[in-house]
Amino acid sequence: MIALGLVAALLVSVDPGALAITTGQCNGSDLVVRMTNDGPEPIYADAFLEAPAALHLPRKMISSWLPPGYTRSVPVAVRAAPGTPAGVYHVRVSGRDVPVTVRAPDPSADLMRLASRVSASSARAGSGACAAIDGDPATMWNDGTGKRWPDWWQMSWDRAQVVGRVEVATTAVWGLRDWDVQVLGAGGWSTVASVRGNTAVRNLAIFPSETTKSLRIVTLAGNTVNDQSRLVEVIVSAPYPQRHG
Amino acid sequence: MGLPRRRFLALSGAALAGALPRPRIADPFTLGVASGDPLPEGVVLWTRLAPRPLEPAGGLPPVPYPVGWQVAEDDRFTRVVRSGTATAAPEFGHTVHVDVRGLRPGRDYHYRFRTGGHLSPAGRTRTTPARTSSPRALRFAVASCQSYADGYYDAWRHAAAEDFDVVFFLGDYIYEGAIDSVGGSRSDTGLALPDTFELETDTLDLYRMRYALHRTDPDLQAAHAAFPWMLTWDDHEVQDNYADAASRFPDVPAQDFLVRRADAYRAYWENQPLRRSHAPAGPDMSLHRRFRFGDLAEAYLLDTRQYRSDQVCGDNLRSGCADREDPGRTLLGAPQRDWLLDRMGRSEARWSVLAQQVMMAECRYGGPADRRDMDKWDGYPPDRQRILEQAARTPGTVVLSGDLHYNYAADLHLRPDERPVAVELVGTSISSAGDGSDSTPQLDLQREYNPHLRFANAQRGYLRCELTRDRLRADYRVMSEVTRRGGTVSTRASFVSERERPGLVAA
Repeated sequence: MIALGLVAALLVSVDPGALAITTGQCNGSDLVVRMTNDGPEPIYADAFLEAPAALHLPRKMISSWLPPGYTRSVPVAVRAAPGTPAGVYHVRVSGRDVPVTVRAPDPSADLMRLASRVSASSARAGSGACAAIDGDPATMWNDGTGKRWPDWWQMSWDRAQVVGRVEVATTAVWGLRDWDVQVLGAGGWSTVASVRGNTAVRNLAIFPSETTKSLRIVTLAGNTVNDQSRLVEVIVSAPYPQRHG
Repeated sequence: MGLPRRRFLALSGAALAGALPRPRIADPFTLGVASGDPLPEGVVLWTRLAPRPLEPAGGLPPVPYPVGWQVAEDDRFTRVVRSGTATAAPEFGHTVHVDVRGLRPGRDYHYRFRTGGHLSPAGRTRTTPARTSSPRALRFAVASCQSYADGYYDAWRHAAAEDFDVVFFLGDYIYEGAIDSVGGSRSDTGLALPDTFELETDTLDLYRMRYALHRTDPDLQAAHAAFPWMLTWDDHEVQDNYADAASRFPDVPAQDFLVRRADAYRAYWENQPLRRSHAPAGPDMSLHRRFRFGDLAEAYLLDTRQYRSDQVCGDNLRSGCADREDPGRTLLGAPQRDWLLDRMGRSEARWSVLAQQVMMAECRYGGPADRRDMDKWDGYPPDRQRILEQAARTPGTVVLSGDLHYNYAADLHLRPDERPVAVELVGTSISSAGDGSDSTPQLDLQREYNPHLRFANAQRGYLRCELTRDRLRADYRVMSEVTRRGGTVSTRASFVSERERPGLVAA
């Protein structure tokens, strides 16, 4: 962690002091900006973030009321688009330098890490499309509409990939019940697997292998309240996946 | 604009002569103008400088800008009656609040702003009638819930073409959730919203950007420019279903939630035409207030979010739940409730209008479980009982509500078998919940189990109301659609209620 002094009562720090990320929409990492009111009175304070065009930050400013002694911690995702040249880039947080080392994913990485674009029909705040491939069981993609179906979640690659297995993890309560797995070919989308009546948290669909640059899951219904699409994790692989290092 | 514009520039030039030179900026009046909280002798004028409205800080450096303002009797600004210079300060997001005084009661006025050689669009406003007057009528709109991502604001365009003395806006002006690059159901590919709008809105910079996004909508701008508004908030100006210091997520400590609330309240005050006396102090902001329309009506703007006891029985729809009857629990907070009861008790106006957020009428959701919504007055029956006891002694009590994205016309009973003591008009959303439909199975069930609900409808729109000396009339104006531009408006139903004998009757 590095500490930075700004206005009289405001201390801004950022954690970690350096980042290493791979290119890809969902391969970024968070910087946590901490704003502390070190003075005796409440203040309204601003922190500023700057980044070169090669890096994408969803925000360049954080403003907050801070009571005395209070620290506000705000995560800010740092990403680099596919194709960004490898190298060290610099984010500045209220004037202090945070080096960000960028490289392309290892060619042997899994299909989730190799994805160049991940998108969805809609998403709730904090439950974006990337949450379905972040390996974190505490996060999920959650569509932004209530009781409106179908929804879709999609991943795409710059180079065509061989796919044959799609494992879906949903929630134990209000989980996903019905969905189609589709791949994009010359003639458009075609369904390669259909899941109906699922009540399990994890479901594995295996289908004859396809070579494609895009795969999507079209969600059709949920269990119980049937309100939203909930994809906790999606693991896409070739029929006989390699071990990844 | 010819002569009046030249005169205005000359006036402002004199007013700004002492100001320091500043970098030239592009047109900063991208968010329109607004007026609100009218009095017999004055009104609050609002604008915000934001040459690039979808960027943090509106694309302005952190320096103050002087902003000239004018109030005229005519729309060509040939008869200017008040003018001056205000400051758009960066610590208030470059918003401008002018508390104009010295106007005449019950009159239309026109206003505009100027800065850096840029002239704002003009707005029209109206002062309230003299306190000693006996107005024949008061015409007002009731609106709420304008989720940007759920649809277009054509309802506002239609409302702006009507003739209202005031607009009551009852909350959910913004929503805190993610909005994608095409604006959700708007599917507006030209919008290209930055992904900043996909973040949960929980810091001051993000709340400010949310208000800016809404205010870029031309139909909403038109409605603000057409009438003075009296606003209160509901939950989404901060977070869905929050209560006082309690987040909707039980694991968020009150200390943390209050910091978020402070940011939300600050942005709310900055972006609405409110007096400085209502500006927040940290996480606290006094928003409840009273307005008088001669001897015809008194309006009470209430705040059912900031002081409420946390929802019981896990919030949402519950059956049973004896805890909701706990007399120690409150929706308004004791000081606001006692202020309201005291003022209603002493009012000499013919009508008492309670402009607030959540449905007051009992609403059984029907079926064997017979659930009620713990977030509404049904979750706080002791407070409701006291309001209705006062209403029984205060002829002409009318409750206005929003929140639900449904239209209802409801009789309010102190006791089920007795005559109503007041009436409630629940106005539907401007856009929230999308196109909607005339009814839903849920509404059908509610009508069956709640005979005091005279009308229910699930379309979008607003209420057009008129109070005359002895009668209330409400027209339920509904939209054909909102997810595409160009929706048309029609009157789905009309009701009247007599002051001396409350009860909604189809007109």
